[in-house]
Amino acid sequence: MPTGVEHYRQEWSAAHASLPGARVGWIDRARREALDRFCGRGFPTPRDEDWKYTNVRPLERRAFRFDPGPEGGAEGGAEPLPSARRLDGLDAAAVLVFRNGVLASSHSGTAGTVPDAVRVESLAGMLESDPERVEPFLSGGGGHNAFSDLNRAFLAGGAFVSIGRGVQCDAPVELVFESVGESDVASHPLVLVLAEADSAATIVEHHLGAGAGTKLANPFTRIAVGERAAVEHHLLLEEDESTWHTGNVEASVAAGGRLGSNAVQLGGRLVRYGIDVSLDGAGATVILNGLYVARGRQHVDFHTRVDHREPGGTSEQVYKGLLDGHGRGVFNGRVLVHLDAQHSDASQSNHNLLLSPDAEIDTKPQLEIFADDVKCSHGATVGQLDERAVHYLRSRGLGEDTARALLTFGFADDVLARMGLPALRRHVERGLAGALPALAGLPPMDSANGI
Amino acid sequence: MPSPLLEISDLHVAVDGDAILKGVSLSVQPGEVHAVMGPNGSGKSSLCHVLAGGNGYDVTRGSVAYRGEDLLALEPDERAKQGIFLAFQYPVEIPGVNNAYFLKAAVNAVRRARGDEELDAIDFMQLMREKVKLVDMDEGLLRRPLNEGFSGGEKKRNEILQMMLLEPRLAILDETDSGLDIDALRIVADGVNALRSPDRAIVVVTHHERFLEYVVPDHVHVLFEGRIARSGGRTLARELEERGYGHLRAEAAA
Amino acid sequence: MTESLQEARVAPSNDIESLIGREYEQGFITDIESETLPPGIDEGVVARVSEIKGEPDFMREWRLEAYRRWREMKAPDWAKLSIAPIDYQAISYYSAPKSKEDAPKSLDEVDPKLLETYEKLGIPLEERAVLAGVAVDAVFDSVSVATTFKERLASEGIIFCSFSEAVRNHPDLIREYLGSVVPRSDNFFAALNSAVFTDGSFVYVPRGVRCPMELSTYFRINAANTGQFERTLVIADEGSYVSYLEGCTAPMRDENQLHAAVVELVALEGATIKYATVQNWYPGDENGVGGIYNFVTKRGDCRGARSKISWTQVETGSAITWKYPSCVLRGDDSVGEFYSVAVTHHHQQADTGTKMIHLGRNTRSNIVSKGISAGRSRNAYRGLVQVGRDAASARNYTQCDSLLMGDRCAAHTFPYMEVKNPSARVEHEATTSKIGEDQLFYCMSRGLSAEDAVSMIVSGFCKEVFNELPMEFAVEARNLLNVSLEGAIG
Repeated sequence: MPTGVEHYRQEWSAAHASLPGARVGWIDRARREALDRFCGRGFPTPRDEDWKYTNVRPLERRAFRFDPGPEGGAEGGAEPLPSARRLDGLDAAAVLVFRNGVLASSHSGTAGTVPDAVRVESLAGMLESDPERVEPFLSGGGGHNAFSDLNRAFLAGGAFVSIGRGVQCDAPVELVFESVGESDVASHPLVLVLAEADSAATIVEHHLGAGAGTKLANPFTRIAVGERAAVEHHLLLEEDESTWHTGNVEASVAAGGRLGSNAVQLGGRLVRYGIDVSLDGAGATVILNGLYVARGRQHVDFHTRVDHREPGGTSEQVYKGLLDGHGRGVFNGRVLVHLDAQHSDASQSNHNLLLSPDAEIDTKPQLEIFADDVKCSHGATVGQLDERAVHYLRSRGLGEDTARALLTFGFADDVLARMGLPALRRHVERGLAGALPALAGLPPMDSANGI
Repeated sequence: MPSPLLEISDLHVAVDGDAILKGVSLSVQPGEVHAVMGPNGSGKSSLCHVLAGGNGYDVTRGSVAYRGEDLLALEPDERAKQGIFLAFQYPVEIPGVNNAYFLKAAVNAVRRARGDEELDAIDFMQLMREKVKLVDMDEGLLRRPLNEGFSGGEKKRNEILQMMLLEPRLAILDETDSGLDIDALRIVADGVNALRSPDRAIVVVTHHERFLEYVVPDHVHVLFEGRIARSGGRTLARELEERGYGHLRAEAAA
Repeated sequence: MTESLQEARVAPSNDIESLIGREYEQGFITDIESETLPPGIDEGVVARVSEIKGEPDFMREWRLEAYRRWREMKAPDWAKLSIAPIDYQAISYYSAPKSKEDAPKSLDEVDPKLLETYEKLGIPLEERAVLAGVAVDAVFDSVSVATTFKERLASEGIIFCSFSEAVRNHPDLIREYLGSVVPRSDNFFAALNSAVFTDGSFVYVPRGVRCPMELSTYFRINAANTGQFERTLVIADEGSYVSYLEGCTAPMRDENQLHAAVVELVALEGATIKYATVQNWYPGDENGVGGIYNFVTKRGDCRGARSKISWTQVETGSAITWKYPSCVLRGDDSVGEFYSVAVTHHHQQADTGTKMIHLGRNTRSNIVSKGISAGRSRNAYRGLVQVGRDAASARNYTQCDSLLMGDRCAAHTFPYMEVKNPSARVEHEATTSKIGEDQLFYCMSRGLSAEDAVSMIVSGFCKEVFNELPMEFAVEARNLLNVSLEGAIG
């Protein structure tokens, strides 16, 4: 069986005619073009500056199979993942559950509280029934890297979320992506979020995985924030140790709009997460928060890019990493302030704690400034806990291990607090406490009371 | 005479090779309040940090006994568990560590060491609310990260709150009064006075005589160039307020 | 070519001529002293360069091997600089000293604009002639002064001579250390340099000796002859100290387009090397026509415990600068430092920074980079801090600030941090901002002109770096900044 690019070309040839919207001209064209781009440049190698620290050769050597299957039929297969792994107390307005990229309708549903002008539905359905609605967002773009091309080439479904002009959707929309089952299964779901002018919404994307088989989760999320609209996007990556995650997020923010991007990674064998935000209108804002945790043999690579294209934009990034065991972390944050994007304000920080002698971090913040009246800064650190803080805690009676555990936890919790979604914060706090030996000495926590 | 709670004998301390304390001796009995005054750079803060077990202070000579045991052999948390509390001049800001969560962990660590039962979340919250009122602190600060973004006055109140919760045997206040307005000064002083009892001692390090009008000391010591230059009653503090430290220099030279 | 100043006294005219520059003549001229090779490079040319210089066999072989490696390499493009393609077959790799007739006979014949600049920089009169390439004996006093210094150095056992002389007189030291810090195949330009370098400087400071003077006064005069492919090797033996300043604050008269120098520093146990550069090669005109390509490989090896290498650079010249003076912190407790001011104006491009490679325990590095961009220029900091698995308790602090003057310039910051040891502490901070209008206003409200206010703010911005320069150069560097930024603020 061929591997690498050739394998995906064959898969595509066999599948493309039966994919949703195959008879729609632009959809077919977008898929073909993406496939050609992917085949043309192949899988990235460490010679590519953007992949300097992340080697996907082992992934390239496998032949992941893509099987879109019929929508709604997925529940016939494996049992749904235990609900305990899902976010507790989220009170979602709507939930869509995807199994290997395919909507499992029996697990999905909408609460009665969703405003009329909010649509949360299957993207596959949209491709068939209303392709014009999604065309402006999916016919071009998406060509960031090999994996976003692969996603577009195999575009078969995912979620469509739209919030009408002026509508505030208070309860979050929850999208759950489960990678389950046998070996070498690939999924390429796409999430499209359209927030029209003056609207507001919160989207939670939760990626889970189970089972011993090696899987490829290759999602793509496209977010369009309209003028003065506000979108909070939460991405939680909790796949199992045999899942490779290569997802990308692409967002645009119109004048006066605001995007909050919150990404937390705890699971996965190899995780490469990329986010590209384009501040397209005057006074657009993006706040990016992220936490990555690599332990065991995990490899985590966070790539961010923010383009300030118009005057008066603001971007603020805080990313933190905990590296334990033989875990390896990579952070690459790029901020571009384009010509004439005057009065841009961009800040970025990346802080990392190495918790074991075999852990490793490579961090690379970058500023590229082509306008002069700007305020830009970045900072990156790799280090240990502040010894003054350790002493202060000990002088209050905490043992050394406890003091260190508390500070390590606080290091991570600091960025979780910035994300502003209590259900997510509590979920991740619990996940962290159980995952890292460095947190073993943590005093018992009553998260309901915040103590 | 009962045995002293704290007995500092001929203490010499160096920081990065520079001698800071050059033979300090001081005896503190239970129930007493001692004030330590002195000009900037006289070694007051170093003395406080040595007692609390701070890093970077090398004891080159002398000893410190606390309740008859060698204090210097103890780790900082062991000292805290045995009842020593230092209110820091510059409390450390700790992002991400919730204030209330930290306070509960500290209170229970100290209670465990004393053989008292640990407090659960509900009992602890009740206790904390009570004490917060006494120091007139905004309850919102309890949910914030420890000292992060607190104003100078808020940090000092938070130190006094910790002192009240931990109920130390020996409290050391390192310039807790500096930078406080008159109302805050009174609140902090009330907090310290509330702690006074026959089995506790308090060492107040201060620049200003005014604080000692609220927290009236039994003994006043003047630290000068790493030594205790004078000791006396509370009138000594007034004398210093009037005459300054200049004449000490003349005395030291003589 | 200059071999030594002793010889210079014997045959002054040849030597002074060689300070001036080169002409590109076709064909061989039989007289070896004034031979010029035709453009182009192959093994024959490399061997011929070695032969002309009368080098021993090992040097010829070393050069040939470098050439073979170079042939296999491609010019780097990762810095994304806009470089017009360089035709390496169009360059002459050895050229004769320019004939005396072509050089200006006195300062009166020199471009008045150049002289004006010297005036502004406060360059001593007698040096102006040397820098302008005046082919007269007026500079002799300076040369003799330099020779006096040289005798003083020799009495301490310090070797300070041209590279060619070192190859002849100290082949063992050359054999041991040449290429030991920057291997021949390190990068495209280093390989080319290794194959065809013509001359440069050599310094050896013996064990325990503290070099009694800055090796700069001498070099200000010597600097002009070092040419296109310069090679510098500085060795500080155990416990020694040397401070070296290369380059010159005045614009050099130079027609070479490509400069590909290599500098290697070796600090043995307990030794300290301070190496400062003030680079002001011709930057091209306001429209970006002409100017030097400055592609330099500089690296120091802190080979012994407690050794220290400190780089200071003030870069204001060249059309394109591509250099990353680096430190390999091999010895335990060794220290690396990098202090840099890079100014770009008009159409200049600078991509500069450092690499700090922490290998030993308790190694420390400090990086201070100040970039100033004006006009339509492009100024990038690119730096790598690497902490190896065994580099316990390594520390790095990087501060990287960019100042923008004008809305068509660009400032970029590309730090790389690669850390494999949990006890390491690595911190990077960077800011980019416009020159502060409130600062300008404040200064002007106290009576300063806009130009003086800018110059004051800019030198304040660069202060940390200037503090690392020897006093007289700090003053010149400050003046140089003003000259380079003339007209940057309207």
